[in-house]
Amino acid sequence: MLTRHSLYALPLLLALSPGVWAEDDLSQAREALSKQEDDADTEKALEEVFEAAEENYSLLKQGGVGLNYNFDYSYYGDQRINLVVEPNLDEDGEPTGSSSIRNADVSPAATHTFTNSFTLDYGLFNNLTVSGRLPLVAKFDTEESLTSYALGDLSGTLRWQPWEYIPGTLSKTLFTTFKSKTGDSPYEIDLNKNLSSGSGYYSWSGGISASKVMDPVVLFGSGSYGYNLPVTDLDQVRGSSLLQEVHPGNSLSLSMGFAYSLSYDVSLSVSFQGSYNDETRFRLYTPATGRTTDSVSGSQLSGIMNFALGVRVSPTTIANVNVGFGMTELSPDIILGLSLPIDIEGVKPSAAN
Amino acid sequence: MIEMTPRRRFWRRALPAAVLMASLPNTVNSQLAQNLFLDTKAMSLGNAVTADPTGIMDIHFNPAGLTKLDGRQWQLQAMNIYLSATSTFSLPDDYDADQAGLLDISNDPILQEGDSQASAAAYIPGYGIMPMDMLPILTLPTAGVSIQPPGSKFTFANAVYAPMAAGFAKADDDPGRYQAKQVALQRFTYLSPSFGYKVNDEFSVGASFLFSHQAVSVVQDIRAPSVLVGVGELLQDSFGCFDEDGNPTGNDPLAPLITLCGGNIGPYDDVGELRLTTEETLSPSFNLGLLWEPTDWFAFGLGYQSEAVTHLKGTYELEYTRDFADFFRSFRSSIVGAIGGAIFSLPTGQRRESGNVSVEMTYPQHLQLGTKFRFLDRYQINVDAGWTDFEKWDALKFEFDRQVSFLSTAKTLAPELVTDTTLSQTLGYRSVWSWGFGFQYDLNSRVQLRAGYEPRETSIPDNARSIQAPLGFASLYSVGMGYQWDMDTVIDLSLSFMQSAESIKADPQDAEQVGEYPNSSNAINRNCLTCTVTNPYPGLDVDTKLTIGAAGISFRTKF
Repeated sequence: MLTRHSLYALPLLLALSPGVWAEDDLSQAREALSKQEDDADTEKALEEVFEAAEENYSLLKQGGVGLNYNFDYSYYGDQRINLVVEPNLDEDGEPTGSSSIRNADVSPAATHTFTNSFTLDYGLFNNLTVSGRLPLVAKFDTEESLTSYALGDLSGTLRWQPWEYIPGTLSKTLFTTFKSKTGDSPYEIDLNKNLSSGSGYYSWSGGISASKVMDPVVLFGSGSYGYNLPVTDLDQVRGSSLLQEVHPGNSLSLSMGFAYSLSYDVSLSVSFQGSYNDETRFRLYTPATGRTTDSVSGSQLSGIMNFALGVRVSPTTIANVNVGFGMTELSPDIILGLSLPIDIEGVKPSAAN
Repeated sequence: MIEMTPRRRFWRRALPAAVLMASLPNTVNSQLAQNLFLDTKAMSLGNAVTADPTGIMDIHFNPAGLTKLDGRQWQLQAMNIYLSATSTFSLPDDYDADQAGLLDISNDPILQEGDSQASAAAYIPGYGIMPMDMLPILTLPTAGVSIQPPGSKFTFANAVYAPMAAGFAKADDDPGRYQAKQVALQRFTYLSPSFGYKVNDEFSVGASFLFSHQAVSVVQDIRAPSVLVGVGELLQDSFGCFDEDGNPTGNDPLAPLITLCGGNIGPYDDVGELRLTTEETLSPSFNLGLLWEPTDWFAFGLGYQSEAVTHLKGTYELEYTRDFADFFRSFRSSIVGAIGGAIFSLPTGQRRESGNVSVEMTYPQHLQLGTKFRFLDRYQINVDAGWTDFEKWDALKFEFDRQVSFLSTAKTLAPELVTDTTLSQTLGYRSVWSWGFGFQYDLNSRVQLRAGYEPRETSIPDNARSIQAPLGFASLYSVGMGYQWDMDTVIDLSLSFMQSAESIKADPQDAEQVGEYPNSSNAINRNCLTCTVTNPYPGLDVDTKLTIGAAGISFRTKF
């Protein structure tokens, strides 16, 4: 595990140092980078994929309203090596060919994230559904003893079925999601004292999802592209530097899987969700030297597997329980979830009489 | 020059510290925020409603009372509040300007600026403090819904309300601008799933789970009315740094050894402005309640509101005046200034400092016990006693994400309170029991007439009074009525009035010992070297008066 991480850390460092490192540059870069490989980034990217894949296959009738409650737990544990290698220089400042290890820190991380989210869907037309999602996040870092409760990023989605669904054929839905940055941004908090609950930037994504019923199996898949808006005007302490701008890379996401109906009451589904995030560029300003540097964290690929069990708990309600795991180092180790529709139609007088 | 050296050295060390700390926010209000404007019926009964369910707002007072709400009901309420907070600054009667020394209180320009007037304000996420002075009356809406499934012993409810709301805003040139030009301490509950469970005919229990937004925000001007700055001004005068119009004359006789004429400073000149905004978007807490009604004429209720430890985070911004920044930039370019500045971490003369700040604040737990007695068929008396754990507000510790030159300097004066990146604000609040009394007369089966009296004890000790939290002991008087519109609809009305007046007297002019005069406060008008920290109005008598009138109407019906 450690080896893999040192491999991961090295390109990051090298990316920053095309030439020979001067001593102070080195320590600056070290400090700046030590907090830069933000797990929040990848976690958020994954979350996006996850959410996108979850709800994209069904539309509501015109005027229909649906409220869903989701509980998600994820655990992210890691051991990171923060390695700084410096080439040795001769008297003229030329590299001698050998290198010294200047810094080798192992920093463990263990983050538990509990997300309670409410999703409200409304059928604008028979083939167009709009939905909004409100996440409430509780996060615990057991290594650093940090606790954080916060609103997550609010988001809104439009799902549109331009082609009428003919039973037996492929059903195709176009969707677009806008995600705000109402959560606590990882780029605006004090990293030593708080945890983030959002991505820190606005993002827009759009894509297509398709499903096909082949009784008793449903196959489904989706693909989407996400554009993440850069954030400027930041002022966050990162070592001896200040983080001023973040230009998050765009993302490509893919999901696929199948659901199998075991009986009228029970169904089982398996899905894979993967996402590729392009490199993220950070702009750092060092007050001591008055210099502005750009650093880049490389592109990342993350994937999760998910297994879900759907159980009919009442004639009109199906609860879904899911268990999943991350397939790459940067994705959560454990994912647990519960999804439950909340019956708001029952509030109507007609339902009670 | 030889004569001046020790004085100057002293001044060099302590002046900035004194300057700086004058600005420290003391952000807090106490009972003001508690159990006010939450429910129309509760307001008209002196908030003595723990044993006498009010409606959907029992989510707050006693969730067990929710069991009284049958079927499906919704409630809408508007509380119209008139608020006036005035402060008057005056020179103590026996003040003798001849004995003034270096800091002449009678020169304080505040004395010529009239009274301070504050209006109500609210904190809007993403915007900051919004003064609510467009209209003389502020309307606080509250809404809720309850559902009792047919035949069930459970009643479920949810409401949107503000269990704690205290906000003030003053004009930019208000004489009170040195203590909370704008301040907001606000807790807004946006989701409150609750239930009441009827165990049997006599006994009910209930609980609420609250998801709230908590904000603490302060904007204020800074000045440093310290004897040290008085010395500074005196030196500038004797050097002839500035002409009569305040323009620099170019004189700086001791340059380059030491430069003191970079910017015009004085004990009553502004240093700058501080803006501090912190919030937590999700702060969970819970309420518990039980209701025991053994007979027709007696009921007992208990309501408990849990504490919530909030991890507030946000930003701070200090903007110094040009004169202040220029003074230090020039001072630090001199030989003495460069050395002394480095040793004592004096300000470098930058115009602006900003960054992130975190502070942990505990929303205090509250326990309320209530009784209800009915007699002579039509009469009812409610008596409640409530306790709030304001002792948790002993101090607030602000933690900054970087070294603030402000604090580095202040460390010299108050090392027990300040480090390079943290600042402790002593509050010293205390937990108190407070009573509430309500009286109700059933005029007929439709109309109930109500009256209430609530002598609200203050949690702020005398030596912590300020114009930021202008609330001492306050009596809340109210009248109201309940009207059964039809089988399913209830309308409640209330009128209430509350006033709190405080007179914070300055220490005698010849006071030698700090803190021995109980009439003055450590948080506004104490006059001593290290007191400058939290006392922007040294030596002045301060009279505060807070008047609140509220008219509430609520409407509850079935759907």
